[in-house]
Amino acid sequence: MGGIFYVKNLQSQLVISEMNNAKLNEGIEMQKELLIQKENDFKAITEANNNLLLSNRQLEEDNQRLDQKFNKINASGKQRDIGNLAVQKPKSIEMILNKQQVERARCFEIAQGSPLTELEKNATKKSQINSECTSQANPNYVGY
Amino acid sequence: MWDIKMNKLLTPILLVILMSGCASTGLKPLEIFTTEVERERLNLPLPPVETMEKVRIIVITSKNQEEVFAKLVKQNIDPAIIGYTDEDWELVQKNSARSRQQIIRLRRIVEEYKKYYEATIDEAPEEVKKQFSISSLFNSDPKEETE
Repeated sequence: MGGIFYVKNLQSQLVISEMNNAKLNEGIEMQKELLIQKENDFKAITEANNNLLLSNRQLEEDNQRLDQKFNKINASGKQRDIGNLAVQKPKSIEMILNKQQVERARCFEIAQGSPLTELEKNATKKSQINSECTSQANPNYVGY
Repeated sequence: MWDIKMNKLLTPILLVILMSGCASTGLKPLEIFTTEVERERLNLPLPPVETMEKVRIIVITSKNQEEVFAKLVKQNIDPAIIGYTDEDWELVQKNSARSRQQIIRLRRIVEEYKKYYEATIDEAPEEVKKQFSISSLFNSDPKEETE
């Protein structure tokens, strides 16, 4: 009688042990999946950071270009002075500023996510580009 | 006499058998299930593109001022100019570039967040576009407001 109970007890212990093993294996698989997920998340975070870094660098370059644009040295070695130019040729400067204003408005639209037009995408010449935000508006233009 | 003795002996044995019997067969191990429920996606659409108003720039110098003002009067425009000096004009341009760049930066961050957490960047539906549109605040029809 005692022997039967002992064997029964052993059998039940074995079943529990097998169940535990199965659970452990399941746990290991879940841990593996978690590690893969963590790795993928890390990759996605790195990619997002790189995208932002690249975008910020591009914007920083745009800022520097804008500074240079205002302080450009002309052929006679003098610094560009828009005030002086306006006094000399008010009509021409007015036209240039109005053109810039239109381009700037378009830049705001692009900044908000407005899709680029075919003309903007294909612009490769200086006469075709949006001089206010070339890096965003004309991705195929290579400055020289 | 024998019956009483047997009763005294059997009762505890039966009790033990009953109790252990209940413990070994009737009670099943308790299992708690934890099911992960995914959080509802926020999925806010990005705001629609605002079209900027066309602004006219006028250059006034000491030489052309009379001509400019005369032209304004002729066009039925108040002969008053709200202007900048050339140096302030450069600063205005820089400020404008900075605000634009800030829009780009913030938009990129929102896009990256959406890509990471929601994996989709949805276009705003028409009704949401209207709701978020800033220009609609300025272009509201006075007739509609009174109705």
